[in-house]
Amino acid sequence: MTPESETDQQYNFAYLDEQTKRMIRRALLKAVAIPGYQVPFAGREMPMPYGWGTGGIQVTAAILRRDDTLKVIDQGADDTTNAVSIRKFFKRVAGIATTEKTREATIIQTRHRIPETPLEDGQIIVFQVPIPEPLRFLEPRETETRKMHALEEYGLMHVKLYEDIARHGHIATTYAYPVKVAGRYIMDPSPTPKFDNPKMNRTPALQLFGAGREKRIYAIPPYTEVVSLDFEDHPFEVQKWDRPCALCGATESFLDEVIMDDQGTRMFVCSDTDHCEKRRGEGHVGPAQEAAE
Amino acid sequence: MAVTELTPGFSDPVHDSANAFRAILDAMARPGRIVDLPALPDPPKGFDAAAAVLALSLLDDDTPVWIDPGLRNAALDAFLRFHAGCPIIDRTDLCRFAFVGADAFAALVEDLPIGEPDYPDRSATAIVLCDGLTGGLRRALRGPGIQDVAHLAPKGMTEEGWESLTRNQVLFPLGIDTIFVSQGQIAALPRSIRISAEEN
Amino acid sequence: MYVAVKGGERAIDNAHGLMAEDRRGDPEVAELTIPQIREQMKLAVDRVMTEGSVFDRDLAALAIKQARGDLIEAAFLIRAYRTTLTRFGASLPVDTGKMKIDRRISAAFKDIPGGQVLGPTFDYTHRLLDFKLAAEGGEAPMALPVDADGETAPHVLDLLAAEGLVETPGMANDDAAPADITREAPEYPMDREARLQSLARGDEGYLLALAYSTQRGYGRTHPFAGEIRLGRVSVEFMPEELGFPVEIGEIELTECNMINQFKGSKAMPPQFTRGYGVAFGHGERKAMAMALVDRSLRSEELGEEITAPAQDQEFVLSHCDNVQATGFLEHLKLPHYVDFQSELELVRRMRGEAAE
Repeated sequence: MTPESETDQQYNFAYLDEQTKRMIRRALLKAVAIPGYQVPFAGREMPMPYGWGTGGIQVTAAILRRDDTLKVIDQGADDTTNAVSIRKFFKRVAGIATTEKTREATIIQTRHRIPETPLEDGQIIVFQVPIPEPLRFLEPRETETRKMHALEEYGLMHVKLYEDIARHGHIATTYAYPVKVAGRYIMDPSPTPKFDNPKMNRTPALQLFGAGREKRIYAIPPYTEVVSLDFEDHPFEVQKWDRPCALCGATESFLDEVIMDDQGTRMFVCSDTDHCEKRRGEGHVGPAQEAAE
Repeated sequence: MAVTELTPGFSDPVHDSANAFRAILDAMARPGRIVDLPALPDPPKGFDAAAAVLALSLLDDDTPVWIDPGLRNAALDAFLRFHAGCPIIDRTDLCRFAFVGADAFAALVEDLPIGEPDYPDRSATAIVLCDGLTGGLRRALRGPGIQDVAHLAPKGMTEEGWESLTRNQVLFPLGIDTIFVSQGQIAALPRSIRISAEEN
Repeated sequence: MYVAVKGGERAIDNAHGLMAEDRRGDPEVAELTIPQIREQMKLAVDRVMTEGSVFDRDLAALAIKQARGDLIEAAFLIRAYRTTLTRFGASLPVDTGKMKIDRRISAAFKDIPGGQVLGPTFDYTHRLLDFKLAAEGGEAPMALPVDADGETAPHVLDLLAAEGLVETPGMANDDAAPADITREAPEYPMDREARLQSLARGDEGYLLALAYSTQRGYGRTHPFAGEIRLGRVSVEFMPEELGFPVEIGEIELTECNMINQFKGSKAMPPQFTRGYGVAFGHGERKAMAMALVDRSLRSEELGEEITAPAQDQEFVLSHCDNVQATGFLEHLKLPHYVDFQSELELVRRMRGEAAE
């Protein structure tokens, strides 16, 4: 817990002024009521650049309570520079408690990953989103994509995925893989690897998405059906690694590839640093640890 | 009107509204769940404490509000104007929030804005003042935010009220969102929720 | 052993320290003061005020100093500061017809009522490096006194409008609250009011390139510089409780009214049309570019065929903000390794299958 004296008193609690918070809060309620639909909101300029998570930061600032415990991850890790910077920002402007442990957090702000530890009822995960529109790369015009969502005209997306299969034998989308939420809206799950898509389905936690530059907020309520688009003959599947985490031996987690030397020696380790540390704390050992012992 | 008639707002607006909002968000994300709102010591006379907290947390000069004539009085107007600064309007089709008694709800639903196909979020949220959140006509709820099935039985909701909400659901993704309030508690019913009378 | 980035917090603190040192440069050289920047880097200050959307010369000068002369970064600092300010309301529209003029030219007429006033301009300078400026401590130059200093003059285009030859400017609906792009998410098609706001804070270089493209034939608009004026206007605000306007200050503006040939369409008879540009302080390039792009974006309203990038609202407006653009471009520096890992896995798998 940060002592009160370290909190920056020049700004309102959690930086945003109350009117801005109310505007975002109202947008959040509509987002929850219409799962997967992108609610326009008057995103503010934040003291960090667009692209650095200003949407997620505004959502977190609008929902934050004094007694919250915040976890911030980037690429699954708590110690990446941007995660450190955002965590520091909220410590400074809100004086809230922070944690690196998924289970202890009431709010988790993330860029590009969903923690491996299953989320629970009462937790909120806030995603930082660069391009919220799943149809954007098929149709650059907002006026058109809005119509497509209104008419539930999603054929183009299926055609695109099927063209991948025809050309490559696979759906060549590996992250920001489109999902259908509660049987209605197609949604961009933010650039998380498709490995994390199944975690979005029927999770007991509330999932909120903020796109600052594009000024959109969307949400998935708890226990909501989230289906990754696929085809009968080409069902959705996630990435697999042919080896365990070198440090903790996990076989079910998303692994980062680390290049070790000039000869191209590689090591694969959990991208979720909290998950990896927890497992090691429980006595799990990976091949790299075994070799060292 | 005399200054003394103005009842107080939040004692700590920043944190009180943050706490209230999280309770409201929790309710909207888990339809049917009864959630406690932080208490307001002294709501305007005749107005529900939870409704007053909702108003202080969500309303400002960007949110035109319609108030059921059966609920409206000078003390409530003064409270909303002073603490929230929201315009109080007579046209239901232009409001963002509507405060209505459970008995008058059925007649109101179809007059509220339901959004546009391109912008379904441009719709009203109805805040329905009830005599209790349990013990009334009971309905089963299914949909986003509900693991299997939830139930809700706000006291004062009529058959017609439930029917109008069932018709509202068919409009999804258009439609209004509803928050039932009573004695410091709320339960939400977003448009996404399927309503049925059967018990299982 | 495990080499991934650790100690992010210390790395960030160190980077901040290095940047502060770099900003100061050689400590043997005198430190820049805010008044120096404000007075001697006026055009940089004016650009930062325009793109930062705050009229405050001292703040803009501070931002330029802090940003080490990076004007987009400086505009960003100003914008981030701006969002923390309380919004009291909207001023009354400023009346540029009552501008106290320091410079005013029309390329469409030889002479105009009120006269052509050249004012401070690079236009007829020879672009030869002036090595006298390299020496410090010279005497401050004094301009000759001019006649028109601070006079007012009618808008040139109003003279044509009286004859019906040029369209009368569109009037904002006085009853409706003005659009505010800082408080509403953009919605397309966007009204001209909101379009002009977006263009006014848009990047000068971007608008310059788009305007140039229209001159080269990508959506040609046949422009004449009807009038460019630089000067000071008073800003008035009407507090709800007073019921009458009070002057709250004076700002310097550059305003450009372009006259564009128009052969007429189903929607309008043949007449000259207008494009409008405005900038805080002295910003002629910006105001002119904005005026050309404004006119291009009116293509749909005027019933013209839309064929060129500068006529395409969504394209022009959703990319004109340099604070947004630079953020999204530079965010590529942030780690993306989980997504890259996902792609690597796919490419390896597909190569494996291809080899089989």
